[in-house]
Amino acid sequence: MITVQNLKKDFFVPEILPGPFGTIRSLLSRKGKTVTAVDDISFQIDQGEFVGYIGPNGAGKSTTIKMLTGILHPTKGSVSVLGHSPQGERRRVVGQMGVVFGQRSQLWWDLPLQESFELLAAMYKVPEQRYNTMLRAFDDLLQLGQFWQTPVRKLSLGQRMRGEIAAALLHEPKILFLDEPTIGLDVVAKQAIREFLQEINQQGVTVLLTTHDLRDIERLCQRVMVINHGKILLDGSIEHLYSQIGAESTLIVDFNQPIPSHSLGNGLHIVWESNSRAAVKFDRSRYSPNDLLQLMSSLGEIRDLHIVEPDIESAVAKLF
Amino acid sequence: MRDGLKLYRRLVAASWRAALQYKFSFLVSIFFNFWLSVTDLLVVLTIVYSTNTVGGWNLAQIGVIYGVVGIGKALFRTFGSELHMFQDYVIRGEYDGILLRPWPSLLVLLSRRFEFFRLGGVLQAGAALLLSLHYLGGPRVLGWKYFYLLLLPLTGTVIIFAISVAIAACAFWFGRIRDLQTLAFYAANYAASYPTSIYPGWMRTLLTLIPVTFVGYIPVKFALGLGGSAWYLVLPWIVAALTWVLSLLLWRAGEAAYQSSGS
Repeated sequence: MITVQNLKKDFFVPEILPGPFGTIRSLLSRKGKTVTAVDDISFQIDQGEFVGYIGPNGAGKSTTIKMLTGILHPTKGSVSVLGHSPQGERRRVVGQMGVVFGQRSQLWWDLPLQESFELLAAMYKVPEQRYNTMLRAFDDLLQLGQFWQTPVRKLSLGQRMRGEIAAALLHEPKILFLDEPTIGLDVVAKQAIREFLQEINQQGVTVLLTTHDLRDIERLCQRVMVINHGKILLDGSIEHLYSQIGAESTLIVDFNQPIPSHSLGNGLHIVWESNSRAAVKFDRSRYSPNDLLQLMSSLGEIRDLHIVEPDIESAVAKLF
Repeated sequence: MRDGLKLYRRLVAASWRAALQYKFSFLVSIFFNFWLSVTDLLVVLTIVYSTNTVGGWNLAQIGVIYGVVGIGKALFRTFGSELHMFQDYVIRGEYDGILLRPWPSLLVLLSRRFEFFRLGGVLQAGAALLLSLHYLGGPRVLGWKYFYLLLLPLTGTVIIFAISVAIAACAFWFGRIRDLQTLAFYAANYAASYPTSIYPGWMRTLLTLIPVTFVGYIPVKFALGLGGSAWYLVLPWIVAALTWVLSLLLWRAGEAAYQSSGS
């Protein structure tokens, strides 16, 4: 479905000269430096896979996705999507993919959501009957009907993201690319979107997801690729990833009164951040938060608690 | 091609409906744009009144060039506003979204937004053209050339669009192109609103290379019997076609060099 061979992307970053007519002078000087964003990577993704593509900021995730979607032209190497080059046959290939960039809207800002969808249907030549069927399905799963007539600029982030994802799927693409689809969303909205993506994938759509949220990956992806400094560091199952980095979450507990320092045993280690606040690192594959809560409540009366999940940056840092 | 036009019409219609959501404000802005662009005309009037003729051209003759170039400019600002703003697409990486649609990228870009209130400028330049032609005797005196000159804004607009595509394409390599646009496009268009013969040699060469002089001056010169040969009437078509070919090649090369932006 997607085949990537020895893919490389260098960027030339020109130095813009200050002062009047700066652009024209820098146009003539061509000073600057070359940065390698993606450095000789190869992989293959088969139909129906749900692949997580993770790495810290600036690792080369977006650059890879932009080459897969025909936006950027590789410096070296080749990309084939559905048997065609997304650069050489851009229009043919992009007609069969759906793309959601979390930070950037694909919808018409000033038009009601409904009108955006109608324009997209015209753009992708979706037959009317099919269009109506798709809309009913989206409404069932994402409740778009509630804000159907609202101009896109007035939608909340969660509503807009539901709209974006549905819009990217209107023409029934074979592949869906998602770049940070849950960024900035609350727990409920995240959950709705995850369930929807799972459903779509079960219907046979291949999904490539980049995210900063390890929970997205855990819930959705059968396979994870980790990239850093333009190289793929790991390509395997989520269990494989956790065996490499550990899935250490941190439970932070505030007690009602100061607690004398105390250790829990069982291989768990408490760090006392103050005499009434304790932090416990734990491996989710061995302990559930509930087990831990029972252990902690044996120490004293709990006032408040929260869980800090590992972030991608620190996870990837552990890989090397 | 036909499909593309159909889609374009549909997107223009959607944008038009959006503009009409605020009818009063829309009409007011057309009205203001009309009077704002009249100030351009006042500059021409002032210059010609104080000197009577400019480079051997009288006011009505200059008015024809002014009208032809003015209609092209205003139509460009109405339907090509995204080319005017194009550096932002490149700098902010918004061009990504354009490339994700299964249509020619320029079609998608140009259908994103329209500034219909700038039709006020088209009305103003059109009025200047009609009045000038009337003053020169209308169809009775000018014969078929009257109708040629009425249609001249068509090739003119095509040339102006092609030039702006070429200049916008530079953004793919250089990012910021405001200065370039100001000098090579807006200043050049402004200069081309007068007979090119009044300028020094280097500037005439520049205006021929860019090639705004073919928008108005060259064909108008022959049509009004001020010199040149019958070729001058055909040249705009040839120049329009050539400029488009070159611009599209440049655009394509630019897309391959597009760097997007970090997210």
